Amino acid sequence: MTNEVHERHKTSITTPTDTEIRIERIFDAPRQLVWEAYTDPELLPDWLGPRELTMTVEEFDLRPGGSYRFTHRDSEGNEFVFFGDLREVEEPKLIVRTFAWEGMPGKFSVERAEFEELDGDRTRIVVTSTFDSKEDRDGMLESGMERGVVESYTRLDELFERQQSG
Amino acid sequence: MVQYPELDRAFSALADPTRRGVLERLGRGPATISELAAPTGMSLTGLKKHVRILEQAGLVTTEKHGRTRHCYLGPRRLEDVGGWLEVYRRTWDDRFERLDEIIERKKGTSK
Repeated sequence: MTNEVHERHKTSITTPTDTEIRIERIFDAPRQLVWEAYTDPELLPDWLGPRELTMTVEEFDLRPGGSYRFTHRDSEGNEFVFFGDLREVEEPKLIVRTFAWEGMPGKFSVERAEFEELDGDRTRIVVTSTFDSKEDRDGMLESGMERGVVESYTRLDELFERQQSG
Repeated sequence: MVQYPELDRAFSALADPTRRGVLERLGRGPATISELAAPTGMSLTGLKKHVRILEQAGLVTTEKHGRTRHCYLGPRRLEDVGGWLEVYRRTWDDRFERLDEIIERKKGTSK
């Protein structure tokens, strides 16, 4: 820890179109360093994984045409697998990849992460996710699937099914 | 930073899996306290406490009919307050906060 007061930047979210979600945040570090932190497979579980789940990076092949696969595991051993293909990779400024969840077969979004150089050795990350339709986008938001809330809902669904059949 | 006290109440109400379950169940139609308690294995008193928190957050309304209390969704729907978008923003905010910590550590070691 240093004694410097580190300003906490705000994450902002907008919906530029009916099928997109755009997230941005500024980091007080040069672009190359931000890129290295963002793309290090060993560090991914420390920031990208939901806090309540254990994330394992099964595959992370960061090059155009490469693919990735992450597993999130809850304390009861339930697994949630997220995967996709890398479409564009331009170090240190751009990653375009598909993002899919095994729980929603055939559905995927395209996620574009841009790293912009700003004055004073700062970097802005802009992540834009594009869905096939507004329904897909809103469905993903409402399901909370990205948030790890999904596991409790899955268990609840099982509960309701048992209740209805019992 | 813009403050959303109502949203904060709604989010802390949502932080509990039992309460999310209650909302999920009420999304399928109104229910009594005992109907809500049954699948959780919780006592009526225990479940009532959860319902009260949801009620204070405006996510659930209750009405007494004789000796039973009926629960409904609302008056606030999460969608109405941009809730899901805010949930998503917080998810990323939390991720980026952790990424920021990693970057700060890296900065420290590269100096």
